[in-house]
Amino acid sequence: MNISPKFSIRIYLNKESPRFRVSLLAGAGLLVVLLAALSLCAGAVMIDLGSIWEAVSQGDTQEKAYQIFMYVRLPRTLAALLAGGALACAGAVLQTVLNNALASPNIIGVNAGAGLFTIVLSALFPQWLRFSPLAAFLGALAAAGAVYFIASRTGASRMTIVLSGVAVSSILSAFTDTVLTLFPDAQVGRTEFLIGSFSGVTMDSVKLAGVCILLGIAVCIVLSYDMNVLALGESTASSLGMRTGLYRMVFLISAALLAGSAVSFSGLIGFVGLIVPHAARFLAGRDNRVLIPLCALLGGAFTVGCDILARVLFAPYELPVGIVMSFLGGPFFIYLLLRQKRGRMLD
Amino acid sequence: MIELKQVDAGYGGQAVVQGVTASFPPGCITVILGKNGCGKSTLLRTAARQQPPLGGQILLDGRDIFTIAPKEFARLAAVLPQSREAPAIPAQSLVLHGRFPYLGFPRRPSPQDKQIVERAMRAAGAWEYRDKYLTQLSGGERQKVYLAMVLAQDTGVIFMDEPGTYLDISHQFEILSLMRRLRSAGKTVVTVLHDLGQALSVADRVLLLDKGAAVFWGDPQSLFQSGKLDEIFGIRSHKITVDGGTEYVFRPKDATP
Repeated sequence: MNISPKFSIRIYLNKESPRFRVSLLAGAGLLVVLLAALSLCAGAVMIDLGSIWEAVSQGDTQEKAYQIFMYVRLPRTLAALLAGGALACAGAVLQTVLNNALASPNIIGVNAGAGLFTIVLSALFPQWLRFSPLAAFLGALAAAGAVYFIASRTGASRMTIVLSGVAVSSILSAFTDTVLTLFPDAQVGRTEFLIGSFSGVTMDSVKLAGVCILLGIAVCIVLSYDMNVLALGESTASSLGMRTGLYRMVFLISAALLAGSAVSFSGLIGFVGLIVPHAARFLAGRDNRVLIPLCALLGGAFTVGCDILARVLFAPYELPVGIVMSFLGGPFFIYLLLRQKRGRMLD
Repeated sequence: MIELKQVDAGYGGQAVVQGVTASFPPGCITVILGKNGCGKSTLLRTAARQQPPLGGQILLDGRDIFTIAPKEFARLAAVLPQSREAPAIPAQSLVLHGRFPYLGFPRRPSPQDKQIVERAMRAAGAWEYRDKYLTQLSGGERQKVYLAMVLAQDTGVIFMDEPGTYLDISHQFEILSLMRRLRSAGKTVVTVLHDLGQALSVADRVLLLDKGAAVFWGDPQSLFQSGKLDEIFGIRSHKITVDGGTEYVFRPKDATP
C-alpha cells in the first residue's frame, strides 16, 4: 500500500481495515469485562472481587458476600449486559431494515408492545409470570408487524415509519395505562417497570430471556453480511438475487425477539436502542459484520455503567436505571448530532 | 437471449404498455426508446424481473424468468438501477456486493471474487476511487461504481435504465463505449436511453414505444428511414457525417433555416 501524505485521512479510511475492527471489538469487550467486574463489586455494600471469589469457592451459602453475589449482583449484572446488548442490537437491526435512522425499539413501539403484553400477563395470569419473555416477544412482534404493515401499505417512506410507530406506540401505552388503572396490584405494574430498572431481577426471570437474547444476537451476526446487502435498498438488493421480503421479516422477528426478551425483565428502558447503534456506527462505519457485535458489547457496557451509577449515586437509595440512561444518553446523543456536520447521521 | 411474448407491463393492475413482443439477442445492444411516460423503464424493469408482468411471458434462454430462483437469475442477468442511492460505504465494498449471488454461507468472498471485483472496477473506470466512500463521490463517479457492481455480477444479460442521465457528456461517452465492449464480449445489453442521437449511434436494435404499444422493432437505420421518430417526437431528424463518422441531429419540426 502506498503511504498517503494525508495521514489523518488515511486513519479515517482505515475504519475498514481488519486490524482496526478487531481492536475496536477487543476494546469494547474489555470495557464490558471491566464494567461487569465493577458492577459485581459496587452497590450499597462494597465487596471486592477477592472476597467474592473466596465466598463462591468455599460455597458457604450462609456467607453474606455469597448471598449478595449470587442473588443480587450476579443476576443484576447479567440482566444489564443482556438487556443493553439486546436493545442496542435490535436498534441497529431496525435502523437498517426500516432504512430509518430514528428507528429503535422504543420509538417504533416495539418496547411498548412488549411492555403491554407483559403487564397484561402479570395482571390477568400472574401464575404464568415465568412465561413473560414469550408474552413480551409476542407483544414486540405485534407492534413491529403493525408498524411494518402500515408503512408498507402507505409506501414506506422513512417518515411514515416513524409516525406510524409513534401512533402504534401511543395506542399501546394507552392500553397499558388502562390495565394499570384497572389492576393497580399487577405485579409488574410499578414505576420501575415503566421507567426500566434491574433492581428486582432474579436469576429465574433472566434465564429464558437470556437464552432468547443470545439466540437473537447470534442470528443477527450470522446474517450481518446479508443485512449489508439489504441496506443497499430494495431495488439493488433484489437485483442481486436477495429475497428482500423474507429477509426483512426474519430481521423484524429477530429484533422483536431481542427487544421483547429484554423488556420482559428490565422494563421499558429504551434509549439504549437508539443511541448505542449511532455511537457504534460513528466508531465503526456501516458494516454490520462489525456493527452488530459492537452494538451487543457497547449496549451491554453502557447499560451496566448506567446501572452502577443508578446504584451508587444516592446509595443506599437507588434510581431506576432508565432515568440515569436518559440523563447520560441524551446529552451524549446531542453531542454526536452536533459533531456530525450537516446532520449526516440522519441520512 | 431474452424473449418478450405479448408482454403487458404496468403498476397496480394498470398497464402502461401492452402486447410487446420482441427479443434481445446476445452480442447485441438493444435500446428502448420512446417519449417520457411511455413505459420504457416499466418495460425494462419487467423484462429484468424487477416487477411482475401484467400479461404475457418473458423467457431467458427459453425459461420463464419467474420460474428461475432469485439468486440464479442474478447470476444470469444484472440490472443497473436508475436510482443512485449513496450508502456511506467504500466503493469497493459496493462492487463486492455484486458477487452476492455467488456467495454461500458463510458469506466469505474468495480471492477469485476479489479479482473479479478488481477487473470490473478497472473496466468501469472506477478502480482509482476504490477506497473512497460513495458519499464522497460525484454523480458520475458513483454511476461508474454501480456499473462496476453490475459487471462484477458477471452475467450474460445486462439491463441499464438510463445509465447516462445527469452525467457529464464525457461520462456518457465512456458508458457508451463500455456498452460496445460488453457487446463485443457477447453480452446481451438492453438499455433505456434518453438521448436519441446516442441511441441511434450505439444501438444494434431499437424498440420504439408509443401510446402504450411497441411501434417499431428493428435496426436504427431502418428506424431513421421509416420517419417514425419524426412522427412520434414531432421533430425533423437528419443524418450527417462528422470526422468520417455518422451522427444524427434533430431539429424542431417548424425550425426555420
